[in-house]
Amino acid sequence: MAKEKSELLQGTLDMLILKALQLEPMHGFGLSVRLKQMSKDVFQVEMGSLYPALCRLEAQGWVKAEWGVSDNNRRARFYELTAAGRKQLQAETTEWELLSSTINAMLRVT
Amino acid sequence: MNPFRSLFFRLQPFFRRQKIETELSEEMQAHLEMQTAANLAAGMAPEEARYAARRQCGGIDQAKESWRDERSIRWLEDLLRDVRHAGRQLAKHRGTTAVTLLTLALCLGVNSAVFSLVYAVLLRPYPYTESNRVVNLGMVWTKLPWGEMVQEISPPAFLELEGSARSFAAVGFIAADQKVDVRLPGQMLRVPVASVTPGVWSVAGVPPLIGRCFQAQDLAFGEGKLAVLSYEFWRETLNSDRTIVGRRLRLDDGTYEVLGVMPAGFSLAGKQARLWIPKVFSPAERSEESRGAYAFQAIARLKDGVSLEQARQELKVLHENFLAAHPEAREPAQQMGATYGAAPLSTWVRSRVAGSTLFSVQAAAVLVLLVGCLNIAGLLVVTTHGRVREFTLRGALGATPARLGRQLATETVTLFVLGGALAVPFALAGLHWLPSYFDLEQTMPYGQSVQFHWPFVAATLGVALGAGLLAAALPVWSVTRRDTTRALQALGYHTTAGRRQNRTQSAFVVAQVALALVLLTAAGVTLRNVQRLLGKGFGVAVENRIVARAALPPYRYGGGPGDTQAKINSFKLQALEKLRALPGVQDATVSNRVPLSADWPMKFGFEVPGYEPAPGEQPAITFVYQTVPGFFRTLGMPLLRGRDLAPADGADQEPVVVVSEQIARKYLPHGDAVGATLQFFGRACRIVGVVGEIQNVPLSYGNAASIYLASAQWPAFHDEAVFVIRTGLPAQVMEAAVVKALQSVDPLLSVQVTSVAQLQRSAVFTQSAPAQIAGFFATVALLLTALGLYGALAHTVAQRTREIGIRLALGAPRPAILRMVLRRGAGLALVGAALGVLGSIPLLRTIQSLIVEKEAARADVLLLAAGVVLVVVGLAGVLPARRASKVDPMIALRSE
Repeated sequence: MAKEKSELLQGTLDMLILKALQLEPMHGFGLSVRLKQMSKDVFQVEMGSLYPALCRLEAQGWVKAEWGVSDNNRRARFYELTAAGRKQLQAETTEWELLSSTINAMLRVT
Repeated sequence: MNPFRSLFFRLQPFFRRQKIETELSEEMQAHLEMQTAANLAAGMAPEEARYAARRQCGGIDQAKESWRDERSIRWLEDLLRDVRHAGRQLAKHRGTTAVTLLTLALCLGVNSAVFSLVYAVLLRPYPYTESNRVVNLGMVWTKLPWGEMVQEISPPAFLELEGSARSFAAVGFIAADQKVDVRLPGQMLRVPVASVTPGVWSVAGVPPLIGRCFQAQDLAFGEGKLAVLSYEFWRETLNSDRTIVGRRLRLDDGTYEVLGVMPAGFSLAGKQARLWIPKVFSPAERSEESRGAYAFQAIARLKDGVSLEQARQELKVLHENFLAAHPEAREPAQQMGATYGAAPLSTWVRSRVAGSTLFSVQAAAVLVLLVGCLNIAGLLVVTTHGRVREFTLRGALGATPARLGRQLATETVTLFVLGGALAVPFALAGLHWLPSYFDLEQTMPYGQSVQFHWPFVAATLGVALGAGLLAAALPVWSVTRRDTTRALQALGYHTTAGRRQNRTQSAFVVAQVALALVLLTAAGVTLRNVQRLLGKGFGVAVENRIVARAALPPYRYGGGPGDTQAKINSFKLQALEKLRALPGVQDATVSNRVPLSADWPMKFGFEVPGYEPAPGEQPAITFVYQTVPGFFRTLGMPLLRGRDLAPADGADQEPVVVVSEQIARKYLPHGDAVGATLQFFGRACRIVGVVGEIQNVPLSYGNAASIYLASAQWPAFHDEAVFVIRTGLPAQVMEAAVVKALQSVDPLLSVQVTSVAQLQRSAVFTQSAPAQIAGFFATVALLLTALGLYGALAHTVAQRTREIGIRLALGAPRPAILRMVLRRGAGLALVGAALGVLGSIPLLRTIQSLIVEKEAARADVLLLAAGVVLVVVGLAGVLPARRASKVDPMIALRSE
């Protein structure tokens, strides 16, 4: 399970990125580390999934990006949740919880 | 979620590509480096750390591609790139591109113009309310050549129908083809006018633009001097003056109150009229005397719930009632199968416009479009085949067939869009020129200018585009289906074109040759037809004759029944004197109409006592000329027997007539026609002379016999005097002098000058127009075909350069190479010609029904056309053949 790449639905990844950015702005690499951490190593997101997702989020106005300096003095682009992004995260979380609890309940029925 | 924000975001790369790409690279590079650093920190060796980082992060280039899908509008990017690429490709092959664009422009332009015209004149639905309920009422003579077609109506017949017919919600009477003098401050105009009964407005159901139309109540009291203006008249003559309603206009010798103005393009029963005045029936018109005056139109609107069939049945019954009340009319009615009839108005109007001519022009235009499309398709096949290698390589590099297909489609579409844009000036020129060529202002039922019919233009472009795409796709499709490696291997040796490509190309050329031949045949037949017609002559001398038409309106000249002809006769005499005195005038005469013209084309019945008509025979009808002594001499008509009219044939003398040869031959075959009697308009006339047959009216009208009356002995049949002047000087030179001379007798006269030669040209127009048009189209098609064949052969030669080089190196004589190429060309041409001949045979039959000189449609035209095609096409093939024979083997063997 350590390096297994599971397929995530696009929408779900977007939601998880929003969640990951909830506390503080991060650059791309930082995000991938955080996602790995949050999922206990289940989700290892490659650049090919991460950046397109960030692009999508930026297009919708849920994150905004700015150039900054990373920990080791490297120039990097930092992504931050916007107010709209926070609202969106809230909405999607609620929706997901409803959806998943329904499906879980259905699966438990014999 | 804001869609505009998203759109704006995605449009940015189109303007700031460089910056965005650089930033992305930097960002992803940073990501990689950070991962590497993390790996190092975890204890890996530097090399290992880097490789691990690469694996963990995934491929940069693929990531960039996925990112690009999100960052910008991908399909738009690709499209723009393809269009730019297409532009470069087109610029590279300048020759081919130019030919294709020109072909497209010509074909599309011509077709659009022609169809817009055809639609405007023939196909556009009639602009009345519920126009399918509007019918034309009139006489039907089923036993005569025109069968079930509804003809004109006479006043008593109309009044009868108006009174008794129950199938119609409204009926109206139209007396058109009249003119009035309109006196305005500073100018005197002679304007076409129609007198109509108030019912016509209800029939049409079209509300006036301003004001109102006259109704029955308006005519019950007062003199009925009311007028409704047409939009065109209101705009051109009165400058769209809105205050005109209620004001008075001076028409002839009366003043009329203007009630309203009709909307643009409005007309009644296809008759051009500048204004409409109420029709008041005279007692003579109400009486049975005028039963035979079939010179008017009647229109009606079917009542709700009544079908056309039911109306027709009722009309038949009403006619029966008429016959019951007038038993003397029963026999002639039965002979001709007479009854009252009704037909949808649009059908009736169409039958009077040069419909068949227009349709044949359309057919020819479509054929040329086909040839053009084939040409372009052929060219596209050629150019695309040359790029097989490029496509195969790109396929190997990862381009999907869809991607390649899209690029090809973009190129073709760009080409066609450019061609379409170029076609617009051609089409506009055609639209501008065609109506005047067809003299449509006279015949157009709607009075509106012809406009572009955009749906058709779009459809044509679509069809042509579809054909082009198909043609371009064939080679690519065949390439992408093959295994890439094998395809690349095959390209290592330069092969001649695959069988499929060759067959396609050959098929195109053959089809073009066939179509060109068909058009040539049509041109040949119609040209020969015109040649014969002109050669036969029309019974009158056409050269050196000028025609001057002067209107003699009754309000100035009298001339009604019971009136003395004094004013008219004195005018004619004075005018003739003045004209004959003009320098350069050799002879002058006057009549109420002139041969070959469409003026006053009415035919009248006559009887020859003692003649027994056979059952079902056409009634004796004739054109009537009211003329003076010397008419035949001036017009160059031979006097066959007897004598001309003489000054002595005056008002108190026995009425005399001169008849055309047809009458003498048919109705008085025994003995001499001269001296016999003829009943005309209730008077017994003595025949004093016989002249040759002439073409009285334009060819599209029906010709008939003619009789010539002495002007002084009859009331004026027509309120126009037509002078024919024989002179050696051209019309333009004489025109001013003639007008001046005539106006010196009456300053208010309006005079129009033309020439007999001009009349002849107009008269044969329905025959000459198809010839000119077919000739034009055939030439275009032939040129295109020659181009097509040239292209095909040139392509073959280019492909087989290596093979030719080998042959030459092995000792083949150059003429043999020449022959080889020519043989291919000849093969294609012959097959095409054979097909074309086959296709032309049914065409010959169709054309034969359209032309007058049936002899012209003989099959030897086919041989001639085939010969022309083969020669032209052969010449087209010579150039590539010569180039092939001049190939240098050394160069050829080294080339690819």
